[in-house]
Amino acid sequence: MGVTRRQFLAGTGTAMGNNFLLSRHAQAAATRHFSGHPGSLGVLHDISRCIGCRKCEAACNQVNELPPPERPFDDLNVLNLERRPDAGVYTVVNRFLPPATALPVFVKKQCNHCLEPACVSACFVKALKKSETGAVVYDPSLCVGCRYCMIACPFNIPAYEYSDPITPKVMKCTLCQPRIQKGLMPKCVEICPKEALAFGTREDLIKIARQRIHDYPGRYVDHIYGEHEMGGCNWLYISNVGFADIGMRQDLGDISAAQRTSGLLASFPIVVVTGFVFLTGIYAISKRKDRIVNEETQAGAKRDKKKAVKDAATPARKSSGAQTSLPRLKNLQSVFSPFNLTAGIIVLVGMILTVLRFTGGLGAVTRLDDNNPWGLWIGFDLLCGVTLAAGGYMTSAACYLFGLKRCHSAVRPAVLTAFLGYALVVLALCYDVGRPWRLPYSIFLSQGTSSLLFMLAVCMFLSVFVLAIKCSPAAFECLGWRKARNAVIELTLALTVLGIILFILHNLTLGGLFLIAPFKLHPLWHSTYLPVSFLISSMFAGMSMVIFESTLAQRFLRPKMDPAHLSAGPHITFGFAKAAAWVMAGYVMIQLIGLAADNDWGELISRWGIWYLLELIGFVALPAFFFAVGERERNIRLIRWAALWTLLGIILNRLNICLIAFNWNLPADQRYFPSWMEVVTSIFIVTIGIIAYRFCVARMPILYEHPDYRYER
Amino acid sequence: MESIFYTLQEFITYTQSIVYLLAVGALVALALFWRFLTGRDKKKRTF
Repeated sequence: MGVTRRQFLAGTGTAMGNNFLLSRHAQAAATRHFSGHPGSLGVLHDISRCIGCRKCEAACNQVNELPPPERPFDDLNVLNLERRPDAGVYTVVNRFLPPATALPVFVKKQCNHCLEPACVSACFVKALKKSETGAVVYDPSLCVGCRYCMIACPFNIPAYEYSDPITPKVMKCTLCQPRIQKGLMPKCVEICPKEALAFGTREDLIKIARQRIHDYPGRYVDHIYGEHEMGGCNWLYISNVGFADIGMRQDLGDISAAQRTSGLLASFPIVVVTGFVFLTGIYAISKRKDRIVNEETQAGAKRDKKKAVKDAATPARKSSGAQTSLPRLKNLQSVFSPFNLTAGIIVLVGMILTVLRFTGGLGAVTRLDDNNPWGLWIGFDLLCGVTLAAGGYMTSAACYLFGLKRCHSAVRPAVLTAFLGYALVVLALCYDVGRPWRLPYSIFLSQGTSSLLFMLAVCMFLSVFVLAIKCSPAAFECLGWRKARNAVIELTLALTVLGIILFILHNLTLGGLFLIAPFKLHPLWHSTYLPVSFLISSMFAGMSMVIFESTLAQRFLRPKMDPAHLSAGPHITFGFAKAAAWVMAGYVMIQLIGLAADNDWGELISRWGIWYLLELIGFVALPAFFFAVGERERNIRLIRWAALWTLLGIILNRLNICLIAFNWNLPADQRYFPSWMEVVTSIFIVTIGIIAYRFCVARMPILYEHPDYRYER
Repeated sequence: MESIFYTLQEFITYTQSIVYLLAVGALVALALFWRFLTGRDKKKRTF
């Protein structure tokens, strides 16, 4: 019995729906029985006893051989500032003046050594580990310097050596792990003159804390901070004033970071397998339809081929038509053209900044700090780069899986753009991470499979590889390597299916990266559906990118295009405009459902709400409407403007999630704003991409079909 | 022998390592099965 397209889609749709249900089930099952290492050690900080003498700070500095402080430890005026641990200070004591008491309250701040640490879940090379003693320990020999641990930490504890260009490290309290292993207590506990710190097993400390609260009900708030927060911590606090009044977050909840990401992690393998079955199924159905059409047109094609063999007697370059005639390439080849001069200046400045970056560290060229560890290079270069590279996958899928042969001429330019996009993302990462030469560690040396960043690294590595292979036939045709070219062409289906699966995983992962930090991202952008939102938005971003790219090619690279590519442009533009409008409408609906699912309607009535609505309506709903109008009215100009508008909207969305709405609750003076050097470096990286694209297009059959291969697959 | 996990993070690291390898294996197996399934398609066309 045959299977219709509708039956097939319904079946696989049900299977994919089950995926999510199963992943939720996996999440529930996985969280049932874990309560931390038995007998793990910790510290109880009795805030009511602390006098703010800073002796713990001095002891910590001494035992960890940290650099001398800017102001001596007996200078208590620093307590007037609200400080946080940084690269040279593992612990700080802050003074608060809560309204409930006339006396100041002193609170020691350091790593809380969570039972299920967010930083450990985030680390994709297992540089951070939860030891059985209870300490969260750091191995600098594995650290890549991605700083995702800093993004993930709900307490904003890990710090980074931004000024170290070669061996920057993440710095944080170690719970004096070396001393604990020798049977000693942490130095800060040992030195405390008021016994405000107590050391012991977590179970015992909780008993002591409960006893004190029970014995002195008027003195303590009836809450042990750290007992349940973020799944529990090995560092516990009891206080004589409300924790909200002394800068300790009350909104962290009981769910650990590992729980927040486990559902998405569990769904990845199922997405891979279901995606493979689904995509190959679509291919089989479209191929069946295609075969019937092919048989009908086969006779005509044979006639054309005979004619082509006849034409081959004339020189090949000439036979490809006007697209390769040298005079029309004057603008492309002129050394002192406006483009070349502008690009030359950008590259020159970029090279200078590169030297500064790799000799002075991230601190020399960026405004990144411990509260804002990710900046423009992640928000724009990584997030937008991957999203805009989706065009290659979209076009390949349309052509090879869905059988839309009209898209064929758009495949090579789109795949080339995707490959260059990914290559430039890798380049940008080399600038952004502390030790770029260790990027392969996550795949070949130390796989932190609990981290979403691990999946991101795998997707990145495989995507570059797959796209490079998909681009290679153009180079092989140029070199005349027919066998190699044909061998790669044989792999088209496999590469397309693998590429689409990677595209899905990659975008789910990118969105999922922020699931671990719900307390830092504004609730309007942090949604349960964030991974799905990323995936869907990258689909219409990819289509818009193809339209935009086709527009630019028609305007600036027209001499390199053959009649087939020129005539296919409008078909592709109208087709993708229709598809993009439809997907964008779905995206808007998902955003609304996300608001309802998290009950964030109230957030819309605020400045952030206006900004959110501007993004959603102004940069998604409106361009979707113009795509639809343009398609209905066959107005290609309107569609092209809508594509550009959509691309700007996607960039705005990614910057909102990564930068603008991230750390939204920090004071304005602690917010991130990129330095001009970060902006110029990003422009430099984009310029390299444009130069590389022009280089390839000028030398390879990207915008035209090579005459020797015109009648081959 | 069953491993003992004290934290969810340890559990996820362990299980995901195996699951990812199985997913890769499943992809290879499915690809081979696809070839088997469609292996006669070309021959049919030659008749």
